[in-house]
Amino acid sequence: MTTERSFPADSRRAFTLVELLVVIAIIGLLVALLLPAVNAAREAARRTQCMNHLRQIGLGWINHESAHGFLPSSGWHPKWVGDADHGFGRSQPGGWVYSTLPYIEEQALFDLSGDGDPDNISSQQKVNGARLAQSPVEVMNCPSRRPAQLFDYILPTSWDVYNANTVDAVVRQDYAANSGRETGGEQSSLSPTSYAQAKSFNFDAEKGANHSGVSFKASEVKLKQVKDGTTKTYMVGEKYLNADSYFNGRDGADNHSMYQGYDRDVNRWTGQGLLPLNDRPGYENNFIFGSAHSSGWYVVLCDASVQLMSYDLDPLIHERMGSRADGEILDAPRATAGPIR
Amino acid sequence: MSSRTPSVVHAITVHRGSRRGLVFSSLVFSSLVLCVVGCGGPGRVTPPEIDPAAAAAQALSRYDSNQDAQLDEAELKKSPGLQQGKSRYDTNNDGKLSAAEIESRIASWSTQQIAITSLSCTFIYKGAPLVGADVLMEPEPYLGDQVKPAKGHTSQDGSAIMAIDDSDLPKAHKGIRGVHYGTYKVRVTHPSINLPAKYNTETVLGHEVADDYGKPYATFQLN
Repeated sequence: MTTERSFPADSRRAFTLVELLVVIAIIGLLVALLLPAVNAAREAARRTQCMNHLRQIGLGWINHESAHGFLPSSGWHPKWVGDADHGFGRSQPGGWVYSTLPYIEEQALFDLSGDGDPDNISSQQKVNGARLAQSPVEVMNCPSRRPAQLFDYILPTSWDVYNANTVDAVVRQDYAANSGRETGGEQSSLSPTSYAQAKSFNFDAEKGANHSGVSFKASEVKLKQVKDGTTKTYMVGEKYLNADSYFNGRDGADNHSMYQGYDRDVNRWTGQGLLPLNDRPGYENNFIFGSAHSSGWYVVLCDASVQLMSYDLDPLIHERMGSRADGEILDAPRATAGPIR
Repeated sequence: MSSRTPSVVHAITVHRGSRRGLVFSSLVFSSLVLCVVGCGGPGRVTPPEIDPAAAAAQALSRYDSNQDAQLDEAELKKSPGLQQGKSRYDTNNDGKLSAAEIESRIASWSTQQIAITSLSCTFIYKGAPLVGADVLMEPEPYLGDQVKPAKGHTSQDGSAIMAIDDSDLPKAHKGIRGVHYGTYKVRVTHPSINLPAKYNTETVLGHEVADDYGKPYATFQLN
C-alpha cells in the first residue's frame, strides 16, 4: 500500500467516482434533452402515416362514388357484416369499411365473404363472414393508437352476427364515417334479421337513416347532394376512444368487427356541441370524433383532401362541417396552415 | 497488476464528494424519467370516490321507513334512481333490496375505471319528440357529493347530450361531456309546455348509468 502512495501525481491514476458520476450525469442530461425530440419525430412520422391512411380511404370513397354514383353506405346494423353477394348501397348489409375494400386494392378480401347465394345464409357464408372479421387492413388503423391486428371480442351472445360465426378476436378500425349533426345513433334501431326480410324492410323509418352526414344507415349519398361544398364537409375522420380500451374490446363503441353495419363503432356525429377530443384514459365517449394525436385530429373532406383539425373548434362550425346541406358555407380553422393534399 | 487495482477501490471508498455526485446524477435521471412519462397525452380522468358500504348504509337510513333492513317497492318510490335499476340490484330475486345488494352493485361500477361516459337521453312526450326541454340529472343523495349532477337540452329529435358542468370537472379535463356512473333522479322542464310535476319537482323518472346499463342512450316516455 505504501508503495502505491509514493507514485508521482502525474503517473497513471484511476478516475475518481465523482469524475465518473459527472460524466454519467452529463450523458444523462444530453439524452434527456434528446429523448423528447426523438419521441416527437417518431410521433410526427406516425401522424404522417395516419394522414396517408385517411388519404387512401378518401380516394377509395371518391372512386366508389365514381363507380356507383354514391358514397359508400354504412350498411344495416352491427349484427351484420359485409356480404360480397349483395353489391353496394342499400342492399349491402356491411358498413362503409367493407364497401370501401375494392377501392383500396382489397378486392380479394371483399370477395372472401360471399357464398354465391344472395338469398340464404349458408354455413359456408358464416364461416367466410368470420374469416372476413379476422382480416386486418393496414390503412384502417392509426399507428399512433394501435396496429392493424386482432382485438379481443367479448360481447354476449345476444350480439351474435346473423351472417358470420362468432370468434374470440376481430379486427377494428380507428376511423369513422361522418353521419352528420344527429346523435341518435343506432339506439332502438331495428334491422332485418334475414335476407328475405330485407327485401321489404323500410330502412327509412329507422333511427340512423336520413341523417345529415355523408354515410349512415343504408345510405346512398351522391356527391351532388353535398350541397355545402365538398371542401366544407367531413367525409371520414378519426374516432375518439378511451385510452384504456384500445385493445380489450370493452368500449361500447369499439366492440364489433370493423366490417359491421351502421353503428357508433364505425359512424360518428358532430352536433349538440360534441367537439372532438384527444384520447384520454377514464373517459368514454361513443359519439365524437377524436384522436390519439395530441396536436389535432385528421379528417378527410369530401374532396378527398386530408386536414389536421384543431381540438379548439367552434362547436357551431364543427356541427356544420358535419352536415352536407345545411346551407351554411364556412371554413373551419385548421391546426396547420393550408390544406394537405 | 496488484499494485494498481486498489487505487480504484481507494477512490470509491474514500472520496467525500461521491454522495453529492450520486444526488446530482439521480436528479438528472429522475428528470429524464419524468420527461418521458410526462410527454404523453392528457392525463387520466379519475372516477368519483364512492364508499359502497357507506352509500348503501345511507340509502337504507334514508328510505327504510319500516326499519326492516330492506327497501321494498313502496320505499323505493322515494328513490327513482334505485327503483328504476331494481332488477339489476336484486340478485336474490326477493323483490327487496338489502344493503349488501346495493353495496355490491355500487362496487361493480368501478371495475373498469371509467370516470365519465357519454349519454344521450331522448324524451318522447305524448308520442312525439320533446323539443327544447331542459333536463337535469340529479345524483341520488346517498351517493355523497362526489357524483356530480348533469344537464342537457333536447334538440330537434328530442335527444339531449347530458354533461357535467365545467366547474365540476378537473381543470385538465374541462370541456369533456358526459356523466359519472351512478343513480339519478331525472327532472324535465319545458319553457312553454307545462309538464306534470311527476316529471320535475316530484319526479318519478330515474336512471342508472353503469357498465352494463344506461349508456350511451336512454329513452323516457312521458305522457
